[in-house]
Amino acid sequence: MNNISIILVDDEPAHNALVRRNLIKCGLANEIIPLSSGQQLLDFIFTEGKYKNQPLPQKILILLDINMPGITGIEVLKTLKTNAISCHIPVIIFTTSDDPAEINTCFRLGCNAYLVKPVEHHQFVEKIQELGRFLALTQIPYATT
Amino acid sequence: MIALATMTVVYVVLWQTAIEQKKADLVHIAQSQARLIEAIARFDMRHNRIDWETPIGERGPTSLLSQRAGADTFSQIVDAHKHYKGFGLTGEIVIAGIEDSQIRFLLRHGSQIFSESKSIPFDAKLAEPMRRALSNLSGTMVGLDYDGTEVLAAYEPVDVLNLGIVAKINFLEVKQPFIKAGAITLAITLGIILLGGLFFRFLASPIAQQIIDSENKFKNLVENISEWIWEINLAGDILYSSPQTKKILGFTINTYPGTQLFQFINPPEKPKAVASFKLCIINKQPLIALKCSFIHKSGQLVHIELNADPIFDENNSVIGFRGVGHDISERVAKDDQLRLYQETLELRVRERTEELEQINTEMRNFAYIISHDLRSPLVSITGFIGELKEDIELIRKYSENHDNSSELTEALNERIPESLYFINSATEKMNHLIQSILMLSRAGRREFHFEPVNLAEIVKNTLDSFAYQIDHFNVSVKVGDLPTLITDQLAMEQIIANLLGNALKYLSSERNGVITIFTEDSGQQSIIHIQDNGRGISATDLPHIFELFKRVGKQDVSGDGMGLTYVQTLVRRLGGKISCTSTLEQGSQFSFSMFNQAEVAKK
Repeated sequence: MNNISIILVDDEPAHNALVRRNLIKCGLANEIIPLSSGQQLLDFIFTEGKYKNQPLPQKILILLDINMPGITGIEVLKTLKTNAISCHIPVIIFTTSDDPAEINTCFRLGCNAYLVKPVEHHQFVEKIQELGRFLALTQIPYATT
Repeated sequence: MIALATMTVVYVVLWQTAIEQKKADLVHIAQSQARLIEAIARFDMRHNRIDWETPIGERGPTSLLSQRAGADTFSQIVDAHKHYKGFGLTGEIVIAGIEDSQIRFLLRHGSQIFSESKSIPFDAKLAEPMRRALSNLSGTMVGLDYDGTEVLAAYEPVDVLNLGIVAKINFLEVKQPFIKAGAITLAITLGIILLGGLFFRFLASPIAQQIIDSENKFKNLVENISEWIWEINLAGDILYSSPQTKKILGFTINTYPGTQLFQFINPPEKPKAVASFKLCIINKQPLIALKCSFIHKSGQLVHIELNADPIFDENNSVIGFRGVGHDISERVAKDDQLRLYQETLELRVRERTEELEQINTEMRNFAYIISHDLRSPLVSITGFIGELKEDIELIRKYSENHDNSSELTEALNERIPESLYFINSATEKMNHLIQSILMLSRAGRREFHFEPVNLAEIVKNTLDSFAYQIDHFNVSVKVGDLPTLITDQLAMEQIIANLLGNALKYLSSERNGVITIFTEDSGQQSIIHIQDNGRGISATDLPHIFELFKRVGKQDVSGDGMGLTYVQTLVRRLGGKISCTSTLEQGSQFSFSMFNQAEVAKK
C-alpha cells in the first residue's frame, strides 16, 4: 500500500470534494488533506501559522489549482520549487485553464504534471482514475523534514 | 512756341530792314529835292531874282512869295513836281519856309499837288520833321506831321531859299505790309500750331496715350500685385523697390544710394541671406525661394520668400538682381499651426492608442478570467450532477428490490433523470459558450509568427479536409491565382477554414454549389474573395454577421455563432479588414484584405 499523503489545494471546496470522492471510488486509500488557499499550503509545508509544530507527512503529493484568490497557484509553485525544503515535493497542477501559455509557465517553474479539469463529468472521473493509477505506481521520495 | 518765336524774330529783322530801306529812300528823295531846289535857286539868283542880302529870318512874313525871284523858283519847282509821280500811297514831299514865326507850307506833293499855303506855329507840336529841317537839321525820324499823322520822315534844309524839305510817308503805310505779313505769318504759325495740335491729337496722341497707358498698366501691375518687386546691384543697394513694402513692412523703401536690401533683414538671418545671394552670383543662377524674416515697422518679424533673377552685363557677369518678395507670414503661421496640430494629434493618438491598448488588454484578461472563473463552478455543477446520477442509479436499483411505490418509481425513473438531463444540457451549452469566449480571447492573445505563407497551399489543404462534403453535395470549387502572403500560417488556416466551411455549410438546396476563390492585388495589399452561390444573407441580418454568438437565417445547420467573429478578430490582428456582400437566395461574397508587406501587418 501506498503511504503518500495527497494534499488538495483548491479555493473551490466542491472540487476538492469531487477529487476526493473519485480518488476513493477508484480504490485509493491514501490520506487526503484538503486545503483552500495557497497560503494554507505554504504554512502547511513550512509548518508555520496554524500548522506550527505539526509534523509533515513523510511522503507528500500536491494537487494544486492555479486560479485562487490571494497567492495564486503559480506563485505557490514558484515558492515550492525554489526552496530546498520543498523542491522535491511532486506538484501536479490541476486546474480549469488549458491556456498553453499557462501550461508552459507551470512546466518552466517545475511542476511535475499538468492536468486540465474537464467540465464533462465522465472525463473528470477518467482523469482522476488516471491520476489514481499514476499515484499507485509512482515512488514518491520522502520529505526531507 | 518755337515756331512762334522764330516767326517773331524773322518778323522783327524784316521790319527793321524795311524801315531802314524806307528811311534811305526818303533821305534820298529829300536830299535830291533839296539839292535840286538849291540848284534852281542859285540859277535864279544869278539872274538877281532873289534878295540874297536879307537872311531868311529877317525877310519878313511876305518875303518868300512876294519876292519875285523866290516866286519864280518856286513856280519852277511846282512845275517840276507836276511831272513827278510821287511815291507810295501816302508818300509826300513837303516844302515849307518860315514866315512870321510860323511854319508856312508852300507845297505838298503826294498823289496830288497842293500848292495852297497853310501855316502852323513854329513851336507847335505838329510838323516836327519840318521844324527840324527849318532848324537846318537833316535826318530821319518818326513823328507827327502837320496833320498830326504819324509819319516816317526824312528832313533836309534847302540852304539857298531857307526852306525845309520833308519827304515823308505815313508810318501806317510802312507798317501796313508788315501788319499784313505779320497777320499772315501769325495765321500760318497758328495754322501750323493748330495742325500740329491736330496731328498730335489724332495721330501722335493715341500713340503717346498707348505708351502712357501701357506704362500705367505696368505701374499698376507692379504696384498693385501683392508681391514686392525690387532690384539691387552687386553691393546690395536697392535700385528699385515697389510700394508694396508699405503693406508688407509698414514703410516704403526709399532708393537713396546706399539703402541696402540686407539692412531690412532680421540680423541673425542676414549672413544666410548674403551667402545665398553670393552663391547665386558665383553660379550665375536665379535665387529660388530664399525664406527670411524682415523687420516690420512695428518691430515684428515678417516672413518673406525672395525669388530673383540675376542681371547680367555684356560680359555675362552678374551686376545685380531683380526679384520679388512674397509675404509668407500667413503660410508660415499656418504651417506652424499645422505642425502644432500634428504634434497635438500625434500626442493624442499616442495617448488614445495607449488607452485602447490598455482597454484591449483588460478586455482580453477579462475574457480570460471570465472563461476560467466560469469554468470552475461549471466543473462543480457537472461534477456533482454526475455524482447525483450515479447515486440515483444506485437508489433505483435498490428501490426496485424493496419498494414498489409507484410514485417513487416515477420520480426515480422519470422525473429526476429528466431534471438532471436538462441541467446537464444547460451546463453543456454554457460550457460551450465559455469555450468560445476562451478561444476568441486566445485568438486575441496569441503571438503571431509572420512568415511567407502560401495561400494556394492552405486553400488546397482546406479543400482536402472538406473533400467529403464537396463530393457529397457535388460542389464545384474554382480557385484562381493565389499569392504568398507574409502572415501567420495558423491564423490564415483558421480564416480560410472558417470561410470555406461556412460557404459549404450554407449552400442552397435548390442548386449545385459553386464556390470561387480569387485574389485582387492592389499593390499595397491583396484582397482575397470567397464567393458562393448559397442561400445568402438578408440585408437586415448582414450588419450583424460578425457579432459574437450571432446566428442568422435558418437554424438548420449546427454552429456556435463564433466563426465569423473569430475570423474577424484574426483578420484585424493580421492588419486586414473583412467585409461581406450578400443577396438572399443568390449567394455571398466574403472579402478580406492582407497587406503585402510584413512590416505593415506587424502590430
